Amino acid sequence: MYILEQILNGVCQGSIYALMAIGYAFIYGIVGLVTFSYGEVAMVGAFAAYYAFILFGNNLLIGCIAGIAGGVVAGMLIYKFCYERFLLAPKHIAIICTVAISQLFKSLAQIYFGTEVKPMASLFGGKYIQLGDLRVTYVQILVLVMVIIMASGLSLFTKKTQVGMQLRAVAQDKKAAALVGIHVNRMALLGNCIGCALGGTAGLLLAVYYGNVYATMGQAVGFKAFSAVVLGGLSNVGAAAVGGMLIGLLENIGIMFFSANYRDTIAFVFMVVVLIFMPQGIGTKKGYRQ
Amino acid sequence: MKTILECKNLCKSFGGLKAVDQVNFKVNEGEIVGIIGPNGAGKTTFFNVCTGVYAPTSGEVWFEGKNISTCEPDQIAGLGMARTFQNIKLFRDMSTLENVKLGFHIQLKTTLIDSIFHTKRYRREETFAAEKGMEMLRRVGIEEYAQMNAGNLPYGIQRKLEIARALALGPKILLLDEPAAGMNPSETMELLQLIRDLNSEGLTIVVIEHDMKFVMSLCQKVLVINFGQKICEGTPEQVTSNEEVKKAYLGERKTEKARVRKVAEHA
Repeated sequence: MYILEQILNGVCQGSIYALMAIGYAFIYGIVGLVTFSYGEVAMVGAFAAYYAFILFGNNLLIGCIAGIAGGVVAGMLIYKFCYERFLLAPKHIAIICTVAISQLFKSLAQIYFGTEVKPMASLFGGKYIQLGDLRVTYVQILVLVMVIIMASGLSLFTKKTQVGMQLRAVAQDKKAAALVGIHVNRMALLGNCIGCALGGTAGLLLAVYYGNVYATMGQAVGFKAFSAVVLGGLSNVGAAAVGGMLIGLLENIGIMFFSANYRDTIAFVFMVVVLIFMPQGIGTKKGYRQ
Repeated sequence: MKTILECKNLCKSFGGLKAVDQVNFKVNEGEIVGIIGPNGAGKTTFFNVCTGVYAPTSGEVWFEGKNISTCEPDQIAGLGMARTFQNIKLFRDMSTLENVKLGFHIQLKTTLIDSIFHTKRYRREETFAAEKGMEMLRRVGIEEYAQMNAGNLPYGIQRKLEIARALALGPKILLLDEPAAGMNPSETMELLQLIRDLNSEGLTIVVIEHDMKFVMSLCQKVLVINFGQKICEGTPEQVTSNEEVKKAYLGERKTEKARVRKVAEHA
């Protein structure tokens, strides 16, 4: 039953990556730029939840709110520093800015939160449900439920609300959106914050899932989210989610054959392979211009 | 007659290229004005400067007695200037109706909270936008395409949809950038009629068009631009009999060498 367990682990990790990938693709679609500070957004969300648990007791709801709020605040800062002035400038300026702010966040976290790995509060005390031979922990259920809620919430928001529709309009054509009276910069800020809220939530889930938080936790997951998005074809949210799930599964099935030390290697080798053989991603029609 | 749109010494340069050069131009309320000129003359750039897509290098744009030279495109749209594009810019992955509904958003007051909780106001305004949107589609005669993806529509229909979306803004002035391009003759006739109807309801219209017959039969006033400069302005008759315009369109009776030199001077 080892393989079933690994698949379950893969699905859980994959769904966290998927959540990050969704947020990432959402940001890419609306801002039009890749970001390299997304992993740090997750880290900020995780630390926000960590301190919320310490201050207010192990209340899941407050933890979630703190995680989301942490992500949103980080998103606002990223927008202020990296995008606001550079939306019309050559793309590499904003992208380098996101690399810088990612380093800044990481270093500040090390200064103020410390460099050690902190144990995350155990919310469910290791409780689990036995399904035949398979053991499903409460944490895993929490992860799956949260990811499904956030992803479908975002989907409903963009499809059913007027603001969501304006966001989609900005993602599809900024010039036309401005000329039907949509404030493109405000939408870019909002879109960035929504994407980062998803990132913050993902950080919280990662912390709860692995049971720890540390200042450099964002690095690897940020790049995995990026890989998932590249796999999905950058701006396609649905395909990015599939990409995230694939990476999660592949990692966990991969470590059955190699050592667990190769976890990150497997994910990134996979990305390189995708870039070589399917550079347009799985979600983009061939020849479709972004 | 009241002036609705006025350009004073308007200039727009891209590096050394003067795309719009010292253009003075007035549009009165209720007019249909045509802008013509050879390819690359700066007509579309002129529109882009008027609608805030580009900031003017120098000079000013006044709309209803307000200087809008430094306004953002969305502010200008909010003031009541709507436009269409030469290379169609629709939201391709949305339905036809959604495209038009987006045009209405500027007039609606629903907040995010309203739409999350489906308040009364949200439902009322949503119905309003849907009904008005359908009305706009009927207006331009494409209501049967309401649920189709805008990107999959035939070319002529996409042009009409762009006009419908612009009308949804409730504009005072409508700028059309080659609206008849790619339309067949019967579609062009329909478009002509539509523009006349809109104008008779009080909408001021500025139209860039290559089809001379179209411009001459539609417009009361015509502006001719070449190499970014205004070379003539007047009634269609005045314009067609103007020597400068003939030169711009038909070339001069000079040697090839002189023509090349002239091009080089302007470039």
